[in-house]
Amino acid sequence: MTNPLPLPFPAWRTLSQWHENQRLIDFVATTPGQIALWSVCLLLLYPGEYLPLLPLMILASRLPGQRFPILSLGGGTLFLWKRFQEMHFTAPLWIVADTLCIVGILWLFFQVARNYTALPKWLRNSPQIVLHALLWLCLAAIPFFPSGFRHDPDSSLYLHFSFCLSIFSFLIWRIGMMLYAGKRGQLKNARFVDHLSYTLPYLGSTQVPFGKGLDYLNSKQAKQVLDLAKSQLAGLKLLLLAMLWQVLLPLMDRLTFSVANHDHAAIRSLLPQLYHIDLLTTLPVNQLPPLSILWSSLFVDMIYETTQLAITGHLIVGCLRLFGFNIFRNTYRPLLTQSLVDFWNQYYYYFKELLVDFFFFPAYLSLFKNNLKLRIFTATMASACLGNFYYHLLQHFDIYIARGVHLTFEKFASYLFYSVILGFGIFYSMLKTQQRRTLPAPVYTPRMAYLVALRNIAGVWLFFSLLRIWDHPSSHFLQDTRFFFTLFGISF
Amino acid sequence: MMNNHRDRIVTFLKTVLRPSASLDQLQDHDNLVQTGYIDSLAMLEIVAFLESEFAVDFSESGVNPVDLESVDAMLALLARHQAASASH
Repeated sequence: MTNPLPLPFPAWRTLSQWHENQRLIDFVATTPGQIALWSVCLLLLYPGEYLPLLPLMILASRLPGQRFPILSLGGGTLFLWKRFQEMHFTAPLWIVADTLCIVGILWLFFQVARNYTALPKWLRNSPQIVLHALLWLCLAAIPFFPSGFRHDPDSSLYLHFSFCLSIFSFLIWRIGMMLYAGKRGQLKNARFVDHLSYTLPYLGSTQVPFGKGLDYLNSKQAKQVLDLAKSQLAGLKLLLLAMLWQVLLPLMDRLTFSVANHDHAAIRSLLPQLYHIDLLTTLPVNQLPPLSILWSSLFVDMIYETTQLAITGHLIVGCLRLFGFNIFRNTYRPLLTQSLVDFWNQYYYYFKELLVDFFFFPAYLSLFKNNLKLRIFTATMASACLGNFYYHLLQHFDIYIARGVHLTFEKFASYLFYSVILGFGIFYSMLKTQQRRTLPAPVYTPRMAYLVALRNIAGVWLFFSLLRIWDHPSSHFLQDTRFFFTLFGISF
Repeated sequence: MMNNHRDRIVTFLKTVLRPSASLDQLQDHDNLVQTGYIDSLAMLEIVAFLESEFAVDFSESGVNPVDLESVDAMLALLARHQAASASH
């Protein structure tokens, strides 16, 4: 990825890219350098949730050939331990049974992927559809279980069945990655334990596989000592950035959202007070603040939310880099991008990659091959719209297990609308980018070039901050739409 | 044969470069997206190019972005594709 804006000061680039300094890389490759690196990492990770990974990272740096098994067994154990703690599971027998069930599910899919060519044709043609159909079939089978099964939360069988099923739904995209590897014939000599490195992920609490599958991780794996030092420094940089944002975010919260948070009356009088979108959309029209505050809130809330996402992504990718996988950043300066498609690419990279792998390319490869525009349109809508919506539908799988599937217009209409507009926006942006590439680059004076860049950035901010009105925790379609019109002075 | 393939790939890449990029300094192992030569949209055009120019059938194996990230990776993909075609 490149810098979206031309950097005026080469010295700034040298400073911001300190992790690529060859002398520093050489130092980190030495034993004193490693001691210094891990000491800094200890300070940065303490007392966060990724601290338990530190011994594993150090072990992986000493035994680079065993990087995958270390991440698999260590990370996998921590993943399961964390889940058991969240569920307050303490009975050793049930913990063993659940572990066997989850690892068993992964092992079964590993065998399916490894013997891909021997599978029946219908399964080889649509493995991902069959995988997801299987998940929904498990859900559909629940009403046929003994009476009262779903409604008896004290039943151990119910509790552990629903736990394993929700973990299956959590891991479904990662299992999909494994099936893709099988489809490409990459599993013939593969070890199951290596595939646990991404299918049992301690890093990351969402269904999005950061670092994708084994193939991608392998391609980004440090092969030499100096590559490892480079990857570790790149990881350290992300941990430092995450820490910086972690310090700045509460500050921003206090300065700009203090009314919403009911604190700091003294600061309140100095700065205009803003509101998070989820609060604004729920307020009656007569209680809304002036338009200038509404618009400012819209933009600042987007910056706030992007920073939150950047912290999460930096910590996860930073740790993976410290393990020796020099993978792409999850969030890379999205607020400086000049097109919608670049923002989408750099805002939440691994979610975008999930949609590309599971929705975009399958649609792109099978539909409208003779018409590039139509091909791109269909694939974009399949990913940014359909795939995006389905991913979010699947996120509530634990609720479906507990209460059954109740798809209501109020619950999903907002996100459906969000997905449709996003799909059209990205397609339009892709067309514009394609057109721009075929034209000679316009010649601007440096000042003009900056003004054009700022205009483009403002356009991206406007689109995504308006779109966020239909994507927040208290989303309700009519309420959100009413708020949108209020921004233009139209109230009803 | 591979030199010919390389030339055809590089000639095509010139048509999908970012406006600010030039292939003068391109090394065959350079990651095209990471180093800023192309954007993700260009990847789609590379897929369409490999399908039409070299008859690569991605519908069998799916698209693995790792196979498209550098000139070397694309050449390796073509070599695998040719080997698979020859064995059938």
